[in-house]
Amino acid sequence: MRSTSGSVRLRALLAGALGLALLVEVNELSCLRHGALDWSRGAVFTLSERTVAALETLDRDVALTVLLSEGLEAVGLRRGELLRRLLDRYAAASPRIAVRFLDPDREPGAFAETVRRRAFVLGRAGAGEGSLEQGVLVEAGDRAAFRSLEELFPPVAEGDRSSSVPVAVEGELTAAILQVAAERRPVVCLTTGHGEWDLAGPEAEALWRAHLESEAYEIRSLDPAAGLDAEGCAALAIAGPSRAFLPHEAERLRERLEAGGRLLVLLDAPGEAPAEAAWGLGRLLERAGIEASRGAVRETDAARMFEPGVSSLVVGSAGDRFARTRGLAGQRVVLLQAAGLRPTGPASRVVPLVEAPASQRVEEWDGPPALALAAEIEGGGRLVVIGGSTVLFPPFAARGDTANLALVMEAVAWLVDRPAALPLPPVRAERVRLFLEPGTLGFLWWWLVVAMPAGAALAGFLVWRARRRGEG
Amino acid sequence: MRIFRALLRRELLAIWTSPTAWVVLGTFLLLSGIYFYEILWVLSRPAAPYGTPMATFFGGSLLSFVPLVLFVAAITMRSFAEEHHAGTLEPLLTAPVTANQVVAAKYAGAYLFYLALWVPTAVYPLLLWRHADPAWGPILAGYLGMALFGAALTALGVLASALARRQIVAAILAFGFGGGWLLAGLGGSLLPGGSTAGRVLRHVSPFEMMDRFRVGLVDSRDVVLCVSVAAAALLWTRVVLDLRRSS
Repeated sequence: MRSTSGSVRLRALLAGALGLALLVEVNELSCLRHGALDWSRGAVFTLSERTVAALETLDRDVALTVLLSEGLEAVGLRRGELLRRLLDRYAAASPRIAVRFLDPDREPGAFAETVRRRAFVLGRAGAGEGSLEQGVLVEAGDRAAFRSLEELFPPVAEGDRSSSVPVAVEGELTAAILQVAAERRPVVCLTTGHGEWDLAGPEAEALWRAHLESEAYEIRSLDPAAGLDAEGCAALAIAGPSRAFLPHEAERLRERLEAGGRLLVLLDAPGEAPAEAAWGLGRLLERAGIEASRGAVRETDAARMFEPGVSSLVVGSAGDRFARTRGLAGQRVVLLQAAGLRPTGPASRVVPLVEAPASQRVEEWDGPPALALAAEIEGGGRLVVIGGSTVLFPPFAARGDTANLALVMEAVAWLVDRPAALPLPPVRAERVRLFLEPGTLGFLWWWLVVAMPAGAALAGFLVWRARRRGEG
Repeated sequence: MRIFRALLRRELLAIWTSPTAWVVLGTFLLLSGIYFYEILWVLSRPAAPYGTPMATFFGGSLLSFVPLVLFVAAITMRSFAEEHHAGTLEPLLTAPVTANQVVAAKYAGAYLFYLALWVPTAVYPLLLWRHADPAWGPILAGYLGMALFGAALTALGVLASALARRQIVAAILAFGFGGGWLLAGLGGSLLPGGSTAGRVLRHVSPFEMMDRFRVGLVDSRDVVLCVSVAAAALLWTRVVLDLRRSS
């Protein structure tokens, strides 16, 4: 009898220990490989396919440090909480990503060390002990980028009563990760000598440069004296030329395209001069199956004009036939003095990126033109033509409600075979603001605090009485 | 299965005909009602922060966890301790039923009662619907989180009841288990995020877990944590019963 009892105790002990081991092991395994369903409004905690694809290609470790004082986050939209959940997803998507939360109130030493180490990136070079802008520090080796909370959570307008707020965390952080982690930065070369943009110049150029660099591109201006031999250029950009390319230059460009080269051309309407005379690029476009108009695209419907009375300021919409920009389909693209474009090659090779509504016309053609086209020729050459360098003009490109910048960035990414470059638009996170009248509050109090508990008490009393009668 | 159903019916009848169950239900609804009303009152003031009432309701503060642990302790304390105290545990264990069936029926009875506590609160989002535009996904996830957390808590409560010979001791023990779990979670939020202890405690933290559920995230780690704790607690309950039977 004693041995039976001992055997039961032994088995019980073993079962208990096994249960504990299983409990620990199962949870450890669940942490190594986990996933989550996102039932939030706007799926705010789900990474886009583009981000996941970009994270999967990471070939170096990236550390994300959230510099945030969470004590200040007790009310309202809890940004720390939202960041924690979303960064969890980043870490789950790639073993290369490590996430750390650094609260200056809890870990002042580590915080000060981080600020000292990355003072320049954090905007603290030469600064004293003043307050630091909070945000996320993204580091890979000796490279670093910083995104402030204001960039991650764009402020909403005063008095905005909508039930959601914009959250730009994913777009900003993915761009920052790409920026610091790219081992090989694709080189985008810009032609010069024909009145093209100088990226060190005015604000439109600076805007584009900033975005190219934030997406980890290297930008190089080609010396006109060195011709158009662009060794090491992943893509060649011709941005808003105002003088024609010489015939031999245009021929080099055409040969480059035929040899599998990638070109981005931003062309403004040449006005009275024939297109070929204005840019000297007619044969290049023709090789890709594209024709550009001489006159500017005009809006004929006053109701559709971007600005009343300005017919040369046109609004097109991103098309859905080009896979890379399908996510932008329907969004507005604003151009000024735009050259109209139309395909002359097979439809399978030339795809509209931006389409004009039926109310837009160019003088010499019937029907609405396209405002941007993408072409791929045999041999792998790719050409994207956008009918206006004003696509990157800050008053249009920097607006939150146009796809100008996103379109150009995605076009560049397609040209250099990048998996993801589309600046991800902000998603909308839920916030509920209640507007309850005193009468409504009174009704709710009666219902919640009185009626429901009293109902339970009454039901309990009835059960108790029935039971007593049954016993009686 | 027939035996399990008979045992479960017996358990449910015992729960729902006891005054304790109705006191627990009434008190739960009273406290929940006051808490939810306070949330609505705060969020409807002109200078109120933006917030989501149901997300706050599902574990928005410590106030929503401590009573829950108490209620679960009150629900589960009678499971085995009462049988033991009344002297009916021995006959039950020597009857032609397996210990697994007894444990499963006791647990299922208590858990169904726990779920029943939450059913009337489904009225809350419906009341809210008239005055706001709540997202339903996070609300469903919040209920799922409460169901899973309750599954683990109830199993710990049943284990406590099997360990104790008196109901009050079982209740204190169950509150100790649940309270310990909450304290571990609090510890996790106080420790530096980079430390191993901090990471482990954060993983098991009910606050962290409900933070995910109430914003609409159903994370496999949380599901595994709750289910594994419940399974382990029930296994240990079975072990305790075996030891009781052998002694």
